[in-house]
Amino acid sequence: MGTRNIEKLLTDLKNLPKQNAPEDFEAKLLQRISSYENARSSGEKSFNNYFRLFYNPVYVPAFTIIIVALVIVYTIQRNKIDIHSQVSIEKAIPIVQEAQSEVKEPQKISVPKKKDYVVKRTKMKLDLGPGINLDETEYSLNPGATNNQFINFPFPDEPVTIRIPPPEVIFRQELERTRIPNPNKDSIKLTNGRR
Amino acid sequence: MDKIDKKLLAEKTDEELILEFQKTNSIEIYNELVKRYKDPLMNFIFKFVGSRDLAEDILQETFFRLYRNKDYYTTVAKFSTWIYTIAANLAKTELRRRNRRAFFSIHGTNSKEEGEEISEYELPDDRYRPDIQTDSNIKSEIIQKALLKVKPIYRELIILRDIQELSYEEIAEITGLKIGTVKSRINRGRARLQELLKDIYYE
Repeated sequence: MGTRNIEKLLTDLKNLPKQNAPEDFEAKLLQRISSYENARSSGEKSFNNYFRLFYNPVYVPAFTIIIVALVIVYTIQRNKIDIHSQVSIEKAIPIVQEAQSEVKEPQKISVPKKKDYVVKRTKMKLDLGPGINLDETEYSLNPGATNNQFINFPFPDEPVTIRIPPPEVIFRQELERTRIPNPNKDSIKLTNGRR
Repeated sequence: MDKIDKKLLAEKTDEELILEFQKTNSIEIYNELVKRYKDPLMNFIFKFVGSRDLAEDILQETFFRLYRNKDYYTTVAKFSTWIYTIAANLAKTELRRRNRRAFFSIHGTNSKEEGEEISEYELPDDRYRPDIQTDSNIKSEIIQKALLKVKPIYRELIILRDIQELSYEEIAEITGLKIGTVKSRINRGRARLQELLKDIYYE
């Protein structure tokens, strides 16, 4: 749709027939307003009549002070704790006695004995790679053993020996292990980047 | 201030009148404001809701609220935008209420887009076929019907701008939107209206 059509549409919108308010609109509106005013004034009147019975502007400050004073006194009385009062102590004693009598002797609780566990060592050989020889023992649990047995754990007297070959031997072995049979097939060329 | 010169009232601006009405509560001043705004507001409300009876009720409520809440008016806003805002809000509330009711009625709404309503009161009428009717009154009626099919958020702005001929600034104040939003919504609304009236405005 072109610009000409938009202009036509806008002109037609402007020329749409105007709708005016009905002739009696103002009269109806005033009628509604007067009824609203009447209702409001009658409501106000009845409220005022009741209010005047109790309300006198002369007494407002005095009344306010009395109300505030009452509130303060009430709050203080409510939160007051009279420690030295005989009455409160007399009331408190039986409660304390009752509470003391309710305290019972501590009961002995029998706890069932737990089974003790002892570690048993069995020898095993660890394979830590070429050139390393380490004798070690395996630990296992023996449910029949006692605590003393557990504490007096028989450590081996023999010293543990670890033999580590010299670095050039390790290097040679590693080289042997990683050597690829056909270097032309899958090889990693370590070349110097600079030329 | 029981008897106020009517000529003097006619010379005063809306803002002067409402401020004086706030002070004096004079019914003559109120009547002057009613006289000035009853027809433009009636036109606006009618175009927005599409029903004369409903428009009259909303118009009365608008002026009643003006009477009751006159003290809420402050000189920050123009009186015209204030009264238009009251009328627009009442119209929108009434439409929403009616749409909720129409949701359960047998007529329902036959809108395509979400938010579009209308034709809640009447069923489609074959008399208004644009290829047959050429009379300007019928055309106006078709435009009015098409206008009612546009979403209310666009319709309100189109009416205020293209029918009531208010400025973008005034519209922005009435609707509480930014001027840019007002302009873009008016364009979108016009496009939708053109689409609905493509049978009339063919090339």
